[in-house]
Amino acid sequence: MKCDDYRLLMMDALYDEISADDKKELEKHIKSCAGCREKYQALQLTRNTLAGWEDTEPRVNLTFVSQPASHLSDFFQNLKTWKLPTRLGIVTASVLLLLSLFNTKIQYTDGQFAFQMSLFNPGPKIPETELVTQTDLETMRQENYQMVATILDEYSKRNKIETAVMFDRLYDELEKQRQNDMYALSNAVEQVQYGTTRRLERTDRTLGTLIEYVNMQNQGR
Amino acid sequence: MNDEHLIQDFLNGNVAAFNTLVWRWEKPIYNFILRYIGDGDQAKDVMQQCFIRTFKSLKKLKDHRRFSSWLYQIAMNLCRDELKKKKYTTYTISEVRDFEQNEKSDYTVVLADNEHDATHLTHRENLADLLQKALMTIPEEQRVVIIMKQYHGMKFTEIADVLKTPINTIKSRMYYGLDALNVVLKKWGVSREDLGYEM
Repeated sequence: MKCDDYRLLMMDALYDEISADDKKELEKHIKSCAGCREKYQALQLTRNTLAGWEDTEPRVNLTFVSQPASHLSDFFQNLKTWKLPTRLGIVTASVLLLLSLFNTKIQYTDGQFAFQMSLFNPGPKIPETELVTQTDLETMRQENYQMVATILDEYSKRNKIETAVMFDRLYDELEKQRQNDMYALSNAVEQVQYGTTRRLERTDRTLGTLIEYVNMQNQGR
Repeated sequence: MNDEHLIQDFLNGNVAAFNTLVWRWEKPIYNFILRYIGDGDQAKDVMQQCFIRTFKSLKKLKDHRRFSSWLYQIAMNLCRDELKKKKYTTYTISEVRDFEQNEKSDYTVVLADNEHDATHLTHRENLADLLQKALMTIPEEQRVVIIMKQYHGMKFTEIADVLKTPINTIKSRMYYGLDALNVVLKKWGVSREDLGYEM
């Protein structure tokens, strides 16, 4: 064993947890190794120094009192200790019971109590007087037929009005277009007339000049 | 009546049994906490928290024979939380040795005492204060082992059980912790004569 290995034995020896054999081995090593002997003595000194620090009284009056009993909290505490399937079963049963309680109905009629429990809300009960008869159905059918006929009639009327309005608009558009065309045509005719008149006047003046020239020639002869 | 009987009584609804446990354990737990965190007022608060937590969770303790180990575990965890919260300063062995070599002067509180001579120091400080400060200079993992062994007489196997650490590691921490304390106390000039008691 090396010196380092004796450190653990030193701790055992220091606090009387060492076996007789280990103690002999340690003592033998300490006698022969000056470094370990010195270290062991230093550790003993430190241990003795530490032993001089005595315990002190805390001077705190710490007293616990019992809590008021709460069965509900006890129940939840117990719930934590139960196994998972048991817990799941209890939770499921509790939920079903709660649902049933929400949908419980108690009626008192003619001196008798009626008790009804359901998991789900069955919805409002329809009174028998409100049940639909064959006559009511026929009336409803006729009313429906009339309503559909009215809707179709109104639809047809509306279509006619829309068509008439559409034709009126088309007529107006065509009329406007025709007037525009007429206006453009009259302008064009006026332009043509004006050009022709100018050309005729120019020709007339040319012929007049020519006649005058011929007359002058004839008078010169 | 031993602890196991008291625990059983308490679990059967007798709160007085728990108070008996408190009165039995408050002194060792208080001193454990005091030596761990090094502040008397804080130690009282932490001790109260420790017993309140024990009161609330004693039902969870399956093996009642492990009550003392379990109680020390609770106290130790609370001490660790307290030290983290308060950011207490502790010094490592290497820092102490660095100081020894370089004569650094910026280690306040504890090592500033080095400026005084040994006689003055011993007269000014009582032994508990001195050892308290010395303990705070060593790493937490070594300090807790020394406290449990030296002041609570726990066997190395029990300490290993509480700290969930191999027994040889515990002995090793004990060795280095004592060695470091020896260095610190020697540095401060604390000797057998200064302490004035028989060794």
